[in-house]
Amino acid sequence: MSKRYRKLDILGEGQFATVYRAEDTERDNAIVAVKKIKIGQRREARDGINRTALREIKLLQELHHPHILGLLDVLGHKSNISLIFDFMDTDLEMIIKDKSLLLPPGVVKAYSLMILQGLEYLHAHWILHRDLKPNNLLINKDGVLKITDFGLAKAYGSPNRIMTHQVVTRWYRSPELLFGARLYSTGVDLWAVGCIIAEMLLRLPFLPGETDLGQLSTIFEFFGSPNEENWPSVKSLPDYVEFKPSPPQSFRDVFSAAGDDLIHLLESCMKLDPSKRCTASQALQSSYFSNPPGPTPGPRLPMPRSRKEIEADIEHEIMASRKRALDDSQEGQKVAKRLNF
Amino acid sequence: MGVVLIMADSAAGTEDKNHEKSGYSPVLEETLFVAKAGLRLRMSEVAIATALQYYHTFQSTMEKNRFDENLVAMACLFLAAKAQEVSLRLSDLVNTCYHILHHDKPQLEVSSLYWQLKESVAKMELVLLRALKFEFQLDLPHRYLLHHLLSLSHWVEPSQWHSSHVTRLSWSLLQDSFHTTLNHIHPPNKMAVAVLYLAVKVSRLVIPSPGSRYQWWEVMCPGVTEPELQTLCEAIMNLYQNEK
Repeated sequence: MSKRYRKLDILGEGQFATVYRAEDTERDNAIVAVKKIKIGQRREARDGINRTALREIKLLQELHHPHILGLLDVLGHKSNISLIFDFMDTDLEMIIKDKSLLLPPGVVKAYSLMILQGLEYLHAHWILHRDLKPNNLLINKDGVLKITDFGLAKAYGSPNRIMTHQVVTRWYRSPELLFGARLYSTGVDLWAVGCIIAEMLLRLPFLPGETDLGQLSTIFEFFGSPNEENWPSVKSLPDYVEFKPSPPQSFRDVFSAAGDDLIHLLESCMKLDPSKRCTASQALQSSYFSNPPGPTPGPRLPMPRSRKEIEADIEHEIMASRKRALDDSQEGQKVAKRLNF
Repeated sequence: MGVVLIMADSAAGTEDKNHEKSGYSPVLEETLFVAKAGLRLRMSEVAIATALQYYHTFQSTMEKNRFDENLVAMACLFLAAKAQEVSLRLSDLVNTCYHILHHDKPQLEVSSLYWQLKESVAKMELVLLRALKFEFQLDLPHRYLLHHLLSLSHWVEPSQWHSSHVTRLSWSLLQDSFHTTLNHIHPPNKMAVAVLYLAVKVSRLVIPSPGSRYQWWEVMCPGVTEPELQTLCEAIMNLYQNEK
């Protein structure tokens, strides 16, 4: 790597990069995350530096916002490129999945607020994120949420620039993308935000489709199938297929614990017709954010237990279940004995 | 640095620099090569300008003759295509550039030379990125020029505006100005106003400014003086006198 950043351990490995935890020796050993971009080794696969990585560098250099993960530095060494970021302790996926944590209304509001503030900033700078999902929303120990992973993000706004529809992890993908729309806008990100807020309430993915087509039927099972009335231009989309007409369900029934203001926000983020969805700024203006309870302040937001604690817990669970199995088998013997008797 | 770079030009072993006779300065030779290859590869003008700008920046930071110039040129095009979201395959770049440099030879075959060239360009791209300190995102004068053209067109009679060809002229002058190091030295807005000033003069267009304390260019680029603009224009005009 380099002399300045001292590698500590591997945090994760993806398709295009490996992420390390490291110390910045020129900044009082502050903990940073180093994302080392993999450069294709096979000759024929080589097409120079990865476009995705370059896009991410390009966008991050221009973006500075408390809820966008900031790029601290870029390093080039030998044939490697490494991006240096602030270290973040956890992500929203971990928090949602950690069933020992409670997510009371103030906490859900605090996260929703930070996501939308970051997104409003992105959209104001003509950038679509295109891959919002809970594990791209990082959270540090002070409870600050930051949007990350700009590998799929792209500038938008040119009226005739055609874009790919193969973006966004399926569960958070909006219906127009699933129908193969090539001209889309901020609505794709708002749909994803709706899915994420819903997931915080349910503690489970809201619309878990198994395939792309299955994703559409999952969506329409809840929202009702699209028609000329609720989505006028739907039939002109490239991959449009007709679904059996079905009536919409009500948010009220599924999110029984949510207040009316939050239900209203979800409904405006998740209109089937992308042109009817609210913008990030409109979402921030909604009464949900001005009504009580107020968002929980950062330091009081929940933190999942560290990996070690979770492992210790699992260990404990295994021991307990073994013991139970042992007890059961002894009991079984007793029963057997009794039967034999 | 431990990077093995194969020379793009001398790779074929001969020294027949086919553009030796043209009489252009070595820098202009090379920037013309960049522009020519970029056009053949159907890159946008903004992407070509980006590549040229990279080239000047690279040459100003590196000691002379450390790297093969044609290889640097190719890496500039390759990176500019990515930075400006233009699709460009490395194999197309290598083939096109080879053909421009060796137009008297048969096309490059899939050989070890072809693979070496590809790999060299990819490596050079990394060297270039580091020389640019990863600042590959440029603030080019093009959008400033478009903005000013739009405002200026509202000042002039539409018929006069159209017959003057100021739009096309200023755009071409701007594109050509990237064959100089001017854009490397001067801020983008000033360059945009300078080419516009030159285009207005050349086309003898009169910009009406009744009762205004300011000249139009002062409004577009506050603080700039006419002699300054004239110096810039002369530097651009010199480009066209370069032919011997």
